[in-house]
Amino acid sequence: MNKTTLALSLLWTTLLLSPSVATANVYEVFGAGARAQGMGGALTAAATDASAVWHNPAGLTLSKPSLSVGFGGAFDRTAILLAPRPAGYDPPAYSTRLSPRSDSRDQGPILGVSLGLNLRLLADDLRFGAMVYLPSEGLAHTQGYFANERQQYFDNRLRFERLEERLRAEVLAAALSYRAADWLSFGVGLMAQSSAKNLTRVYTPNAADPSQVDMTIALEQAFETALSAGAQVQPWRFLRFGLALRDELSFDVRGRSEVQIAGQEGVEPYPVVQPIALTEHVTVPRIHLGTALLTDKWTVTLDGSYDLWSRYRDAQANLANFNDGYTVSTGFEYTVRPGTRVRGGAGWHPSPVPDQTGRTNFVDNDRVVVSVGSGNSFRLFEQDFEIDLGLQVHALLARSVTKQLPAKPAVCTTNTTQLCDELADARVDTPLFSAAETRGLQTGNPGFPGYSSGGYMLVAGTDVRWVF
Amino acid sequence: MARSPALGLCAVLSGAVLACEAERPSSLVADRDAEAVTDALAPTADGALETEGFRPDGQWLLFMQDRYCLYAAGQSTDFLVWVWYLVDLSPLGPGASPDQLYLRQRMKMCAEEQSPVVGGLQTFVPAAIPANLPERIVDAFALGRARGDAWLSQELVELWGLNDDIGVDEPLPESPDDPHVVDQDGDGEPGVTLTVGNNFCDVHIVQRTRYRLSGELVSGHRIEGTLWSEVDKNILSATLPFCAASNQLEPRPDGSRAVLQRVDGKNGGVNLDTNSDGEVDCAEILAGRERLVADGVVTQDRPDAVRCR
Repeated sequence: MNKTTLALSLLWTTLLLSPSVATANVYEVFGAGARAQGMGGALTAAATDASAVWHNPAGLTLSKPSLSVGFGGAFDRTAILLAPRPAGYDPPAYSTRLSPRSDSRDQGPILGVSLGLNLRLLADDLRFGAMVYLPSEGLAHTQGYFANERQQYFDNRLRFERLEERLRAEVLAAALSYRAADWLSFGVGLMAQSSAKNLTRVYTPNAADPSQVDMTIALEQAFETALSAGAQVQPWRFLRFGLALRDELSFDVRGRSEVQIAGQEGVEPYPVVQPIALTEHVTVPRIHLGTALLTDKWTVTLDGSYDLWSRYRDAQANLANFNDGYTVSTGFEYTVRPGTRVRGGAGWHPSPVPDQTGRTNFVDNDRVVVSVGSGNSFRLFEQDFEIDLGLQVHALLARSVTKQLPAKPAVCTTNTTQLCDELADARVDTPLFSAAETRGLQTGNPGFPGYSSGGYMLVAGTDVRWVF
Repeated sequence: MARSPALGLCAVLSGAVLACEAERPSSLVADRDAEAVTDALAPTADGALETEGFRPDGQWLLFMQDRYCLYAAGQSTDFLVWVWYLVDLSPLGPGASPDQLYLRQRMKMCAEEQSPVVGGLQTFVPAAIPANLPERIVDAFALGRARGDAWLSQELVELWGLNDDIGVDEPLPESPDDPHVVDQDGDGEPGVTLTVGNNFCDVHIVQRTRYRLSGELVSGHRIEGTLWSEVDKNILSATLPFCAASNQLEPRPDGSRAVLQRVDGKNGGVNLDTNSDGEVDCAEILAGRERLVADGVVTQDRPDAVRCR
């Protein structure tokens, strides 16, 4: 068995053993590192520094060992504007919700620090790499959300499902890369995401006063992992192909709350057991194909990915019924003079989210990415350094949604997919509402009767890399 | 020429930005038709004693606020019950002096509301219950027609889910098969059905409430007084065991009161006859509740978190 066969076998075995766990993050949306950001994220066949850990682990062997630190941020100018609610559809006490129904604008800057490592192991052909992204919000940041009428009881607004919180997640990734031949490299990687198990026990000593509770919380922190793998083939000096696979990963909180009320010990249904299932930052499985055209001065890349968005789960761990989708991106790098490079790129990221005319409000837009960047080499303290800059504009093409009014609205249950009735038709009048007021659709769904979304994000990043 | 790439890039970026700004959509869903509400509730001369004084006729609202400490699930809670009656008043004859009057009160319950109790849950009395209760005739006595003269009412006994054969002091049935038990609200369940929370559970009960009322005239169209009540209740069944748990009521007469307010618009009374048919009915009473409370004609206290501890 030669080295190539051995490497292929290892790669195949790794993919077969890939665990089926389910995070999106800044690397997925903006690209890993300032170079990737400057080239539209199209680096499947051209990632060479530590960013290869994310874009294609096979690329680690194609550059010198290095240690990098980066800083990046995104300025958010997106908006979700809600259509005015028509009269006559309010459920009882709708005006007393904790938060009034409101638009979503400018969700605040997204800031973070990135660390990268590309290290030689035993031989130059065997490399270890790691990439870590630490968001300014800290680790394990979560923000639960209901993408349907239940959100009216919380902040009562809509969110961009594939942006917002998903861009505030940490990224932990490491990879091994082996260069089997001058024209062939392989790599396998591991991505990690924190998860938690939670058991909350609540005792209510005064059943008449829910504000008084005795509570114990048992929290177990753990990590979910997912595998990545990649290969790069360079049959000719001027042409390189790349293939990269990434499994799914997510931040999961599982557990339960047990609630006991004084005086109800031993009485059904106490203690009430409330299951907890929270899933966030879902990264779906992806396959990336890329090609790079290489000359002395130019590197031109073209990438495409196929993304299994049909496996995307919402915050309650339910399948969101998205469509599988694709992305296309391209980039270039031009060496102006030795040690100085300029970059550019563009990308098309169509939305995998179908029109939300029913119960759910997964807000998502087709996205156009345009990017520019630069790279400079310099020496300091007799050491080689590189500095990269990347700038991107993500334009979210405006999209409007109008909810469809069902002819005979069904009462909201777990499986209801159409816009649903929150108040079953009553047979008799009650002091709260008359039977006539319960006829037809009553909904406090914040997405009803419709909404528009769009806007843009400005993204900037810089990396300083020590090459040794 | 050196500036062309930058200008081109700016044009692309500007175009992309302009193409992606969201605009607020208009609502393509029309307002649902709402019935016009006629406001004919303004009091005519509330608060002033009419020169004509008290007149034993017309239609009146009897509003009772009953207050208890409710013991349930090991806790005590301030518990309020608000009852709305439509009363047709007529004279029976003079008393020992020309100013004294015997009165006949034909009383029809329009609604009962209860404050939230354990865990914030509130019990709702469906409209079918008062709608199916018979009219009660209760006589009263007024010791005069001037402000401060006393008014005394006979005991009012209200039976829920029970026929009138049951004695005032007879123990309430515990079985749905008891011959005294009737399906009063016509929902197919014995007794009457109360709804707890927003369809959290249903409770099927029989209940006997005894009210004793007394007060004094404060104007020609208003009597204010005190209320004594006794509630006897048996839970026949419930859709959740938690809702079938027994509780105990301890009356708090200091928080209980009754108001008899003329509502036919005559002799200075409030006018609730919104459809101008010359008769006030329960629907008009219920439609006017918020306005009566807002105008201070009746006062509904809120539960006090520390009152019963």
